[in-house]
Amino acid sequence: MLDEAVLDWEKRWRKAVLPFAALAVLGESPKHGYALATSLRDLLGAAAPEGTLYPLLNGFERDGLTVAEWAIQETGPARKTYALTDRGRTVLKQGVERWAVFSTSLEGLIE
Amino acid sequence: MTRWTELTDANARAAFAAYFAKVDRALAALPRAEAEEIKRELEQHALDAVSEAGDAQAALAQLGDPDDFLSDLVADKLRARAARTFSPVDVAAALARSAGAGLAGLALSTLVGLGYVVAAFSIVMGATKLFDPDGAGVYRLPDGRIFVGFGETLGGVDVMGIWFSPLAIAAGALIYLALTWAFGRATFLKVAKR
Repeated sequence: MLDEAVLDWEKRWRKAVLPFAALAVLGESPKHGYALATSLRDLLGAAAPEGTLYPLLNGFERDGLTVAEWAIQETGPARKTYALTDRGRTVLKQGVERWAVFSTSLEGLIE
Repeated sequence: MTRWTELTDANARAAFAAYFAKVDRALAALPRAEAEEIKRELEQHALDAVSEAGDAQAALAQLGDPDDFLSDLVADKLRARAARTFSPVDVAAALARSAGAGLAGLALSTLVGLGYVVAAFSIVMGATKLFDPDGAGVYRLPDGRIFVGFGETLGGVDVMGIWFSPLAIAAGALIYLALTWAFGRATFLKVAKR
């Protein structure tokens, strides 16, 4: 049984990495909101209410990290799909590099 | 399925009706087309979740309380609109909405609001000087201190003369434009608690 403190840390870690993880998931392929939420749920568990993603996606779009367009589906309704821009890919690449440094130093500490 | 009204289960329809009435209220400050686009996106998300989980209540709970996550989104969009139009009406709406979006929003709105007061003060002083040369300005007081403001000159010497007027108006306008631009780029997204 995990201690409450550890459970609390884990919740905070998941929330903290949500923007980075969302950008990384969109880096794999363009996605609509629900598909992004599903991928993040698989990765991070239920880190936050899924509606929280929409302010986040709006922020990405405003900052030029993503572009969104309503994509017509072969079946089903049109969906607003988000894709990384060149700037978004650059930011993601930098984020991945910084994450590797952070993760390596932390691993050095706990090993 | 494209609209929640197509749901066959009456309880699910009732849950969606209540949820999207709340969404409508949360998005009321946005232009209709913008609000409708967000609503359609959330609706599709919730309908996808129902298709997967089969439970409308659970799907809507998973999406979260619209009052929590939409307040940030609406405040963000109003700030962006103010930064696009530079309209005082849009700026006022963005300030009011941001002030209601949590402690960080209140702090930001207060700070930016004070900046607008300074800008307005500067413009009014500049305009006053145009009509009443002794009504406002920058004065060096007999004890050496500098006084900027309206009314009594306290025996001081007018340092800038009529040049104060265009400079004060330009400074006020510049502060207004810079603040509005910066306000539109401010972000303080919070991840709501589950």
